[in-house]
Amino acid sequence: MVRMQRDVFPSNWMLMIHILRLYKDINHFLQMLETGSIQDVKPLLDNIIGRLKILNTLGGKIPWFFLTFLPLDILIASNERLDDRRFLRKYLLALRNSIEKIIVGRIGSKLLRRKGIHTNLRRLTTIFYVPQGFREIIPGYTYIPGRRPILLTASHAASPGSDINTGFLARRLAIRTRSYALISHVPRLFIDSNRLVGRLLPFRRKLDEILSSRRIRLILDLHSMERDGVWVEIGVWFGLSATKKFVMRLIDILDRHDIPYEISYRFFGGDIIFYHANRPRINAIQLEISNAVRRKYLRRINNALTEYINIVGDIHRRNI
Amino acid sequence: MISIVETFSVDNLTIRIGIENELFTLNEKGFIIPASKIVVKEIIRDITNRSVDVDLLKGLIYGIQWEPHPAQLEIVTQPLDVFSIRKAIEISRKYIAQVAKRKHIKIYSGSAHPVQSNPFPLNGTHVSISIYPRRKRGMPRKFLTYVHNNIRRHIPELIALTANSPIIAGEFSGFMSSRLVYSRVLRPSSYAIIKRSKTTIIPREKRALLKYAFVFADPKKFENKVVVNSAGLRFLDITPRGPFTNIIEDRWTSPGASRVETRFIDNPSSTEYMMDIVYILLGLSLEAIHKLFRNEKIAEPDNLQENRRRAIKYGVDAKFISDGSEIPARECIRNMLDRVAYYLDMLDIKLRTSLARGIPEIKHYGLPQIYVPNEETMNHIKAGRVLMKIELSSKRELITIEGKTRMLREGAKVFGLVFPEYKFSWVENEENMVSRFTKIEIAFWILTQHGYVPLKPNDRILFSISPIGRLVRMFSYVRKKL
Repeated sequence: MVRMQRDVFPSNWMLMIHILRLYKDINHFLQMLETGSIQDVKPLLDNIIGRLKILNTLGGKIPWFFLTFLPLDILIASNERLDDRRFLRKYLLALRNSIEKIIVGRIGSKLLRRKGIHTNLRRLTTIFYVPQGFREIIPGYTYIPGRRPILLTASHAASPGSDINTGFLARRLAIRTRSYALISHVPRLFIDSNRLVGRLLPFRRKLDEILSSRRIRLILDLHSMERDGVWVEIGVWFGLSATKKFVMRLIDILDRHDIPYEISYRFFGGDIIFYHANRPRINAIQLEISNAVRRKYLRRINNALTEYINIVGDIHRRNI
Repeated sequence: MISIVETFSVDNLTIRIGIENELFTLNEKGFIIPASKIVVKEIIRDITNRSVDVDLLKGLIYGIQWEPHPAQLEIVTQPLDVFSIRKAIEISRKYIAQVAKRKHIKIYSGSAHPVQSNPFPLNGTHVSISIYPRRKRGMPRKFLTYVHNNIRRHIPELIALTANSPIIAGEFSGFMSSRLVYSRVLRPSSYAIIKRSKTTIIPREKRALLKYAFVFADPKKFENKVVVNSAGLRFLDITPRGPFTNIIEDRWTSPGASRVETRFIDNPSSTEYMMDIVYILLGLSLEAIHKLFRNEKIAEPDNLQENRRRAIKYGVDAKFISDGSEIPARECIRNMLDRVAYYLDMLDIKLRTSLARGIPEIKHYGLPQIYVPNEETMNHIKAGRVLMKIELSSKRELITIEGKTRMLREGAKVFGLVFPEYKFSWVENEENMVSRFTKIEIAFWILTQHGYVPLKPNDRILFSISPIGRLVRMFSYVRKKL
């Protein structure tokens, strides 16, 4: 009899148990680093290493699973960087955050499927790839350095298939508010920088670099949508990518400027939001701005976002 | 015994065929792009500006719509006679390809993209056939059951003849029709029967749970329904449709919508192949009606599901089980085609492609070539060891993320994530429509912490490691240092 074999991700609870324990151990290690009590750290590290080794034996699909969630920075960095305690802490925080995403991802696999991440069917040969002509698109972005801890991204700013106004808005806001901005020049019809596959692109690498070298507090990922009535849809990965105070402050300002908005369940966030958010240190909000918004109304959005950035980007302000 | 017409003759029958053909939008490099919306917008603009013959299109096409995946488009034809249906497919495909060309988009007519179908998205061609006596308004129940059962018993042969998606995610999947393996909407149907059932209680399957709905508005208590799935599911490989079935979505449709919908066909690359498949299905439908006139029973074949599985896996090279022995699929296909030819002759139709000789498209043109210059690198990636330390065999440019370049000497060692760069070659039988991919070339790059380095086949892999292995090394290093 012919067997219709498919590659199925191990759905056993052993995987989840090991991931939860790994999360606990990494948290413990972080606490030890913060309190400076690292005398008893060796058994803990042995635990972590042992647990990782077990995870590696749980099936052929595990490597891509981790590759989907782990920050590429950690994976490709040299060990020597870990000598710096600051870097070690940063990496551990990023790792802890990725494991949180794995936990949520396993529970909410349907959410991931909506973003094209099929947790049980991916292959490593096609997670990360580039189309022919990759050399010609490097670097493929414009970087505007800033002073405030806010990063504006416009990943779909390039035509054809561009999100209209987003490149312009990111540039303008960056200049007005002295925020950082990253504007992609690679059309999404060539390769989409707001998808899993886009993590390889220089645009996304630069984004990672800015996040690790600057004290970025908030990423505002600008997009556009076809919708009348609502001018702005706010995507926060069902609350997983930004803390409440960042979202509440935004809502408050949009209300005051009389801008119709919605917390989106449709555009809840692309890969930029999912991958780079590291709550509570790095918050990420996706803003979908209606294509119907033009001229003075666009100026109104611009003013509202300027006010928002000025408030949340004030490093001396403790309570945003 | 049929009382409507006494003798079987195609002149006494009305034949209507409808086709749903799903297509992909590609960029100029051959990659799937979410551009169906752009194409549909352009079509709407054409129609609004009257820059296309709307009346002609309206007569042939029911609609062009986007599918759940943003790279999928679907052409839905009107129910048409055997000759107009070819025209409808030719014109609509040509029109879509032209519209897409304006926006620098290509259309791909295959079932699975060789790299980006992972395994989804997947495309298919759905053929709906309706045959009924001239005096009737639609397909009667008996006709539905006969046509369904006759096509269904030939599913293995038809799959073997049309399986056309052996490559997904950049490699051979091990199945000639990957689409039929992975698709969640192509469950095997069962033998069609006419069942007397209550009209007020409707079985409804939702998220794999069978529940019941009640409809109080229906005046009749019982009705004869054609049943192939007790839950009234329509997402089957073949299914009768229309108001005489137990499919809930079709409950209030008119008898004119009665038809048998075939959904297991992988997308043929060209209109010619598509039409030949449609004609084979039509021939089988006519054979079914002829059997009905002769009062001949269509029995449930033994080993249908096993033969179906074999056809999906091996295509035309499969061996089917029949009466306890194994018969080559080619023999069964030839047998089927000989019988079908008799009915197609009545309509003066001749098959024009290799299908007439029982040779599937994939055999006629050959499988696409996958060219990997460095198999070792590919094997490491497939095994999950994507992080590699590589010694360069010649001096090489390192390109930083800012786009600056730096020269690396011969023998330099680099560590990072290795990823493929795909290059496709393809054939366009119709203008701007990618019919099939002929070659997939894979080159490799490595992403290091300093930038990108293109790899060459002679570069030596010093070691490779999985993401988890990398974490183990990282923590081991920390342990040593603390």
